[in-house]
Amino acid sequence: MSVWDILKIQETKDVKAIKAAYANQLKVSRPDAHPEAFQTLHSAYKSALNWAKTAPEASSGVNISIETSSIEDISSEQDVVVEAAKDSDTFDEMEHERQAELDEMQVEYQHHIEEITKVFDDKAARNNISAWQFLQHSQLALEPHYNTQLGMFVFENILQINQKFEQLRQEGKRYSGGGENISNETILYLDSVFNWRSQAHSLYYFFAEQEVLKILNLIEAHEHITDASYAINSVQGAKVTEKKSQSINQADEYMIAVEVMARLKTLTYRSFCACLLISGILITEFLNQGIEGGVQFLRVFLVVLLIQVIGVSIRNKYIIYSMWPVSILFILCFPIMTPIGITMFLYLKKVRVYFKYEQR
Amino acid sequence: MAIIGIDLGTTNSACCVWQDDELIKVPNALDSYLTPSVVGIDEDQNVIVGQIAKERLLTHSEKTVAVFKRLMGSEHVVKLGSKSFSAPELSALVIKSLIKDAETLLEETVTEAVISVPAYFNENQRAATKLAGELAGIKVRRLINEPTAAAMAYGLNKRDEGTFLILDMGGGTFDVSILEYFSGVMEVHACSGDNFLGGEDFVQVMIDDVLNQLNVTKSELTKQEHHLIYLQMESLKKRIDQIEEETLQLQINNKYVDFKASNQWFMSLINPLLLRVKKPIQSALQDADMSPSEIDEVILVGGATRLRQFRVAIAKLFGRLPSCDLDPDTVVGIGAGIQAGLLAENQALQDVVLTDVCPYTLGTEVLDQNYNPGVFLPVIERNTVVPVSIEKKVYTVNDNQKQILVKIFQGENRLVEKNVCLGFLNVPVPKAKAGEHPITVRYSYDMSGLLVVDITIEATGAKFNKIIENAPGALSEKEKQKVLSKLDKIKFHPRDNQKNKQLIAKADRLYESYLGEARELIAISVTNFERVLEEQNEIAIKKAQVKFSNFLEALEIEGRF
Repeated sequence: MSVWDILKIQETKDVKAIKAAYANQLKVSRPDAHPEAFQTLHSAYKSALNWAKTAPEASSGVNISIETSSIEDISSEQDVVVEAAKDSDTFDEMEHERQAELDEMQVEYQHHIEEITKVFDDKAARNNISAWQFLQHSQLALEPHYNTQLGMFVFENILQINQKFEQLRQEGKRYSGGGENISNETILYLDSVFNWRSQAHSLYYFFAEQEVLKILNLIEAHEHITDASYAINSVQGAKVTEKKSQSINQADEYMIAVEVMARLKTLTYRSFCACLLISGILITEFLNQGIEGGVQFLRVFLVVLLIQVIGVSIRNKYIIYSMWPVSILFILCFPIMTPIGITMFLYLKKVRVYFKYEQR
Repeated sequence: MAIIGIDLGTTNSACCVWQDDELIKVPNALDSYLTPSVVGIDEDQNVIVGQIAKERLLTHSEKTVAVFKRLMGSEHVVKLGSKSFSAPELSALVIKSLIKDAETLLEETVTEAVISVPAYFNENQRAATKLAGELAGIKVRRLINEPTAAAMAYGLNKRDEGTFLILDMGGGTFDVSILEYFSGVMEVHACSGDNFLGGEDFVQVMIDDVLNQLNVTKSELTKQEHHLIYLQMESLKKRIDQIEEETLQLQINNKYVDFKASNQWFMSLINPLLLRVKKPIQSALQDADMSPSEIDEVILVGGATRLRQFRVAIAKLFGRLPSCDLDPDTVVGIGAGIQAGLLAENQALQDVVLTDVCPYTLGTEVLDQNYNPGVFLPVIERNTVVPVSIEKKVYTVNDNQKQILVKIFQGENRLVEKNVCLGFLNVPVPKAKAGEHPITVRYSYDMSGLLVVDITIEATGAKFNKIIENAPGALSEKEKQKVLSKLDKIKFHPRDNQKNKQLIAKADRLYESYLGEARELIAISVTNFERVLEEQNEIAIKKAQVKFSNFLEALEIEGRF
């Protein structure tokens, strides 16, 4: 079924006709009563509109000439309006006031540029958020035009400084004068004034793509979510307390990880109890063969046990991982120890999963 | 059996109903269309809602609470005296009071309602709002987005066709919606917003700066003093346009301190907040694929849009003046009332259809090419027209994997950790090689903005269904019944004579704010008023009411409280 069948009209480029048809059909398939029919209708409507707007006109040449002439019409019309209005004194006055305001803003803008340059040059201050606060409180930041201009200027400076810093760092030198690159916090703060992400296209136009992408990604990665903790402050009156959360969040994921670890611990101790039991039998065996052999074995076993306990209690990945060769040695070299070796091997595999999880 | 429309606001709530082909605003017991969203408990353990509670915020701050809408969808509890309440429970009390007003006016029981929510409310906050309605003992037929409600009120009021951009800044939230109205179709193209930007924030920055300048921390102040400063700042905000400079007397640590407040000071203070307005507007325009010139009209809704500086900032952004013909305080309530009429299938509204969009991207967690977890896979993109149902296939990554943990996320970031987790579902899968058997994850989003997730395992045909239940604050059926009976047991402050009680509560508040002569004057007037009340002479009481209320009003204006 084509979109026109769904809309129940003939193929047309007339946007009004499409809208009217959509409105008619919508009364039949109301979104609350027929959700699926509505989705089909809506997507048909959207594609019909899209087609009507983008399809090539049969007589495109004519169309363009009409458009250009219409623009001229408008501009000449505007001239007329301006001429007519200029006659009156009030207009002059208003124009004068407006001009004064614009001049004032231009002066203010120059001040800001100077101030920004000053802060950027001051190596100690430029990563200090309070040095930048004048921007957030400036009336000029609310003027879309000046906001963009200032934003571009600041962005350019950040790129320059950070590039220079990066270059020097790669050459193995410290940045001259002990200054720092522009920190992430500063960039994030400045983004709250200039909202660079919404101007991405013009940034890409003026600056190197990779550099821009680096900063925009950084802003996205560090974006913070305003959450309920902020909400408490604004509640008035009685006291607000937090109930224990049941929802899963980052903290809970950590709790799950801890639980895995706790389970692992009991597992380790259990396997060690088994080890001790078996080793008791082994030691008697060895004792029969000669005291020295038995003591030797006991020593090795105690060392292994100690390493394990330390490793698990301080959760050091590498100490626990050092058991890999031991477990393999057990499996391959001592036929009697094979079951212990296998238990150890399996448990090490689980530990690996745990550490992978914890890394996140 | 009427359906009512409720505007459940941060600062004020309102209620409207569609009856006999026209919209009626429901007045409360004090004959006002706005009921402050303030809840308190009085000495007899009765619940007080509205203006009286608001007056008591200063005098009984331990037993009264305001601005609790900001806690919706979180796990916080408010302690009022000996009882503790969650945000949905407090909202339920406000809704109950509104229902009572409506029932008094309509003389029939109210069983169903449409409740308005900020368009940018997330899933948890919406669920909490729906819960609030249910706890108030009514069926919530629909949650309607506030800007959409406002647009309905505007569109049906003016019958103008065209594309509108609605900016709704209430007490606590800021919403942007782009809508088109033609031939009875109200189509929402895109919406965006900021859940923590509203009129209350303007007052908050003022208080913070005042305390900062005077070198006092919030904890050094008593609750009364803090609230007093709040009231002074709130009233200063309302008249800041008319003044150049003014000296305020602030009471800090039992001493009076002069504070010079100027228009310039205020403008510089709220500048950072106004800067935050731009981002959602740009995002909405981008999603709707429109330029500011394609917008026929910019409409302002919500009490905070009265601020001149806000209007100027908007005018600068769009290069034209925004319009605000309807009362920004009640327009959302009117829209909710119209939606209620729509659902009741009123004849006069037969030819109106509303289509809305979902404000956030909804998706699940998957692994990236290098098998690193934590990547967000969008299922329903933001600003998709709703109701909608979309499915995606996901696969196992390990051989003989026993189960798949399907997490449900909401947000725009590429990484799930930056998005809001709505819940999770652990589904068992048949043993097989990695990636052999897909499972289908279907997200369905309804007109109220509530999400249902269905999971089907293709190999076995087993189905799992999830109506977000791990969400913070969500209750099981059993818990819900428990809360319902708890709220039923709570008695409301008697409805009659509310006017008198409100006046006395107001007098109490003013008494606390004043010192010296004025205090005595208030005390005398209260005693006089109470004496008249005891006589129980209707006419005398009416007269005394007017006199007393005029007296208090004069005091209020004089003292700027």
